[in-house]
Amino acid sequence: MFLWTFRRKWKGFVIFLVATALLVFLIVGIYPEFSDLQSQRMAEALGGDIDISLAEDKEVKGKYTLSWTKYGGVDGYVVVESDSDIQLVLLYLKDLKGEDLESGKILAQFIGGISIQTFDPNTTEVVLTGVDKKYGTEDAVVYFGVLAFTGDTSKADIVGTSLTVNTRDMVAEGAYDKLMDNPIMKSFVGEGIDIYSVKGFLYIELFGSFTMYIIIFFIIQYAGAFCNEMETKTIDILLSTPLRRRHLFISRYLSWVVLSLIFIVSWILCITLGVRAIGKADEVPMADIACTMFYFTPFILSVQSLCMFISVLTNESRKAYGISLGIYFGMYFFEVINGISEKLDFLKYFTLLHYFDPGLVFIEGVIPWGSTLFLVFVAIVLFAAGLIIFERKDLAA
Amino acid sequence: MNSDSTANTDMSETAVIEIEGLRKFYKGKHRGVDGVDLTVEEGEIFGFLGPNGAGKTTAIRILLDLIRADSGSARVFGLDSRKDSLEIRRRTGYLPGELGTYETVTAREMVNYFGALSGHIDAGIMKNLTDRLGIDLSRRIREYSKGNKQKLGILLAFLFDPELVILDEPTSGLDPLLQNEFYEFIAEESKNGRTIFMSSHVLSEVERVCDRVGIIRDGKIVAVERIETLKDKMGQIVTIEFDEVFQEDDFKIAGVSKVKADGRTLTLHVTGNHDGILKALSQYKITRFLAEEYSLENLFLDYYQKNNENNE
Repeated sequence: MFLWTFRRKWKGFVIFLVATALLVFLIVGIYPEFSDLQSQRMAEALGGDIDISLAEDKEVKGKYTLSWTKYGGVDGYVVVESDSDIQLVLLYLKDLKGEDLESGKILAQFIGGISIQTFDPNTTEVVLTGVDKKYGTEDAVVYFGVLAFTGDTSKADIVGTSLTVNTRDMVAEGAYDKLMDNPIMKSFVGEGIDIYSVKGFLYIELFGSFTMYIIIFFIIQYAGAFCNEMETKTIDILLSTPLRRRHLFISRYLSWVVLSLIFIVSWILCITLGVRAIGKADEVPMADIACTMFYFTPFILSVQSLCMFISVLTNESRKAYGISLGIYFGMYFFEVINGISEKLDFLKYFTLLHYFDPGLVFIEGVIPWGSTLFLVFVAIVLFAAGLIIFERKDLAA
Repeated sequence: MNSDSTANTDMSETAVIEIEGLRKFYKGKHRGVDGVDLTVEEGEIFGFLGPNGAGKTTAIRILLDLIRADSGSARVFGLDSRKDSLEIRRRTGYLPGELGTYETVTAREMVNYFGALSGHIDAGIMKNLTDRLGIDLSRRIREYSKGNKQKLGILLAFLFDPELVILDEPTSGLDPLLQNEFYEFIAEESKNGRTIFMSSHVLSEVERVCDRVGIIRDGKIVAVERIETLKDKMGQIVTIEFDEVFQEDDFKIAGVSKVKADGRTLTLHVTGNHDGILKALSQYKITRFLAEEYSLENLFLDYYQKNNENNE
């Protein structure tokens, strides 16, 4: 049955397999450029050339060394420190001269939460202590900026900016978290994922949106499993042979399982090769990729069982596609509602997506066995229900 | 045909298909069949005759367990069509009224696949049918015309040498030459002992190839007759043109029905011998005498009219 299914549709499968494999490879290949672009954007956003560095003392908590490249022909440096984004402060100070600069510094400090110190032109390094206790909480992110000024004759230059957490992470947490505040985005890509790490990037790009399209492809295949046979009347001659209905149902189901596994294995290989090609194999081991992709199997099985159940309920493929896709998008809708309304929080239990968290497996390396087994249970129940209906169904002309 | 099957030309007393009180209503309302009783004997070609929607296909699908009856029983080879469906299908070939095909494969691939599902392929039958019907197995099915698909369907039905072949409107889409070839083929197969149950609404083909015929109307069997008996019942339509005025009552005699007078022309339906009518005619001068076979089509309409009258 598998060979027959494959023989009839092999061109479509091969095209889809090659296309998705190339796409997977391409998405992985995009990461280095994406990463560089984000660094560049960050530099542009914060201003300056980022030719300063901030080193945390490993032994003394809250002690940092801020150093920068020496500028020629300057009259001194201004170091600005704050627990909020200092970009506007730097831009404000940068345009001030002489006495204005001094009054500007006072004004800036008056706004609150900002500490400004002036250093002589030979200074290239300052040691800052107690940074962790200044701002109320030890987790506070502290921003530093260095301005090089030349008396009152010209504007100051921003030497650079830095902060007490990894700057890339910071940008990620800033911009990305704002995006992730949107419940629709949460339902699509999950929460707490750092898109700037290679794993985060792969998770969002591959296991988020890309997977959604793959599942839609599977749904279209599964939902038409029997409706197409009924519409084209091929089921009549199939079941006029000594072929048990249950045999047909199970073999058709297993054919799709085998095809899904072929897709999964091909994607594992493509992601692994792609990650190696960009030199990130140590950050994303093949075992993590394989584990995550195989973790998809229970989810795919439950979707497959659901679609085949719907397929045997109706004789029309259009209805089956509509209902199956409607249920799938409905699941995302429930996820969105879950993020918006606490009253409707219970709806999340009615969506298979609630029990499916590839991020947990891929990013944190944890397999949620409870929800995984629940998906297997759902797959078995829907499979059995579909089989019983198919066994009893009238195959009317 | 299996080697142990008895080759015969006469109908055997063994019933291959036995249907009793078969009733099926779709979704509780739409009538499929309503109390069908029917028996098909081994080695005969049985014609299942009725207009579209009469219930022919429903009865056939129940025999193959594609649909389930509400009540009544259907037995094939003495086996229950529901419980022993697998064994029945192992011994039965089927050509559906609308043949579904897998368009992307070649005919040979489909034949091999269905041969594998059915257990085996009878090389002799395959060669015989592909030669006689001119089936090109190397082509993709999507390139096939409707007629070619029908030929493939016939091949699939006979492919594994089944004891019983159920054909639903088998000549649909075949040109007249191929229809003749098909009629000859199933006549030969019947002689070899194969039982053929074919539904049709083409009366001439039933008249030509079938041993017996069952007429179904509105889900009920209205007649089951041997073709010879039907032909006897059919008699002839006799048209007489008189040279003088005639008395219509002179022709109301045994074996004559449907007397219709129109001026000096008289039309009669005559069954049995023509003795009575010739005696009645001897007293008149006639200018023209024309005797035509009464067609099965007319008889079919008679059955329907009778049934309508009974219903009213």
